[in-house]
Amino acid sequence: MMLEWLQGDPLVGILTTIGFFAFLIIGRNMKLRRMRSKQAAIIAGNVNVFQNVPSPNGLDARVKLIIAVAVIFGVVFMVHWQTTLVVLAATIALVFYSRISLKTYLKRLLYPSCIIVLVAVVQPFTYGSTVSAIVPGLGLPVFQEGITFGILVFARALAAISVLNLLVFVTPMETLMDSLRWFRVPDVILDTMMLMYRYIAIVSEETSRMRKAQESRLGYSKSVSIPRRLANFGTLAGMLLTRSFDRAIKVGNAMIARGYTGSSSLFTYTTGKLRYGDIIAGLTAILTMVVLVVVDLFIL
Amino acid sequence: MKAVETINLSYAYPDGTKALDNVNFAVQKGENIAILGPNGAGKSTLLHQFNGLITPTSGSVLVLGKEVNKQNLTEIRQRVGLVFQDPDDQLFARTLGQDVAFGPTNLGLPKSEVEERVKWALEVTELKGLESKAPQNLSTGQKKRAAVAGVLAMKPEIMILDEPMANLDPRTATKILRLLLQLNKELGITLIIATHDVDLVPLFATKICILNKGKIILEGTPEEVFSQAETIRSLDLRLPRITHLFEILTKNNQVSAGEHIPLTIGDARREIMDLLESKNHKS
Repeated sequence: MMLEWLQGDPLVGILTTIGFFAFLIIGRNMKLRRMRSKQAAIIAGNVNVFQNVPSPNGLDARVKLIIAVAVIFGVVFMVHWQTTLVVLAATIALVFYSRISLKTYLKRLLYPSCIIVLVAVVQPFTYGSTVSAIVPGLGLPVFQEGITFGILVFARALAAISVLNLLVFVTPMETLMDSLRWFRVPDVILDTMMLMYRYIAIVSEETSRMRKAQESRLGYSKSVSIPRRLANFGTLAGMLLTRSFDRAIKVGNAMIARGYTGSSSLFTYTTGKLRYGDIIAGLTAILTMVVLVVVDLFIL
Repeated sequence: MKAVETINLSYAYPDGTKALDNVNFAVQKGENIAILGPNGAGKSTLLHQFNGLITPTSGSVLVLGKEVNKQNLTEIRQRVGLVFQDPDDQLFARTLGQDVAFGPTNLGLPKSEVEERVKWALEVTELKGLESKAPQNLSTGQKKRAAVAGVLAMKPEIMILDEPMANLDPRTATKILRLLLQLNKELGITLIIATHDVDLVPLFATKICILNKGKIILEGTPEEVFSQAETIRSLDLRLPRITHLFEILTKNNQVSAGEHIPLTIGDARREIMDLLESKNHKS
């Protein structure tokens, strides 16, 4: 995902990265809320609230990860938005195959999609030279190249984030981290991600508590003006940042108190042996993607 | 032998706020000491000095006769275990087992020794069987015990606990207290506990130290300290409920509680039985 920034179109890279992290945060928040609404106390059972839906075919997480990366790279290379729809359709088919709730899947996709729409909508007004229309009243030119590029950016980013969404859905976070370690991702990055993952629930609970405290004192009631409501939201965000910083210092202190010097990895990452079946499945998926890219670039 | 000693210890935060002011404090090995004080008294700052998390602005801290300095921090942190108030600050690992193993691993112990210590610490804290559970899925009481286990696995000689009974239901608080007393009795671990819970203090403390605005105001056995009711109230603290009851009985009903003021239910029961007996004798 990170390499994507180095080649081709950085816009898709930005959107994909935003999408990935948005999925992690939104997805976990949604799951937490759902668990709360069902009054399934976290403390009660052995259920990990962050445990994702297991992939029914039991494909190795490393293979899933490499397929996802290959698909994203492939999508970035595509120049026809129609071809990216094939990827999107295949992803939706896998959603059904994995028995994931389509509603939940699409809900998760909604927020990053809003950002993509925003970026795509700007393109016709900012990119290109052939004026195809003028916005009445505003005199703003709409460029032909911009429309095509906007659609392509939207289609590419949507296909890429839908793949990442599926990946996050069918792979538990810990397994994903184990797989990234297998791909030699540095410990410092993985440790940071693991800590982020560990504390997402606490940040979410903290947000919920502060929000309720504001609501209980009419912070977001209809009697309060919209600018005031926005200011209250800003205060909440600021407080959250301050508290997160405070928590980070405390967690750091707790580690130092137990002899941590920063010279070793915080977590241990383990992976089993790759199965031949998984390798073949992975290669087939990657090959299919290569064929799709070739068709897109040279045949269409 | 003194487990922890501070000599003219002062500490000021970077913004200049004086958190500790010329503190002279000592705990004997094997003792259970309670540090009482209102919010912002400097309790946590004092505790963090014992583990070398913060260094004094002036004065010194001695742990088992050795002055805490940058060179001996690893040794100090092995000998002085610090349990944080909010267990979520301490439990960060993927599983409980990995979290408990964090300290021993940092000590550079061989894998087999780490595993043995994890097993032992989980057994002592009654968390055996929960090794593979994620910390976020534990109950608050379990999290508190897990935090103790994480420190216990480093086999410390001194354990410092910041509000270990805070936010716990009475039964769980008692369970934690029993565990701590067991650690003191069976393993000889010196306990330094910062708390607000004055009712629990007489149940475990052999000595109390009252801190206010970075200074030690009162120090002594629970009987000595809780006999200074006026000073305690002036510091926004209170007497244990039982002691308060006997204070009222003495003042309003002329019921004398004898030489020792009752601090616990057990003390009160003995006192009441003595009073009833002497009344029966008289009649």
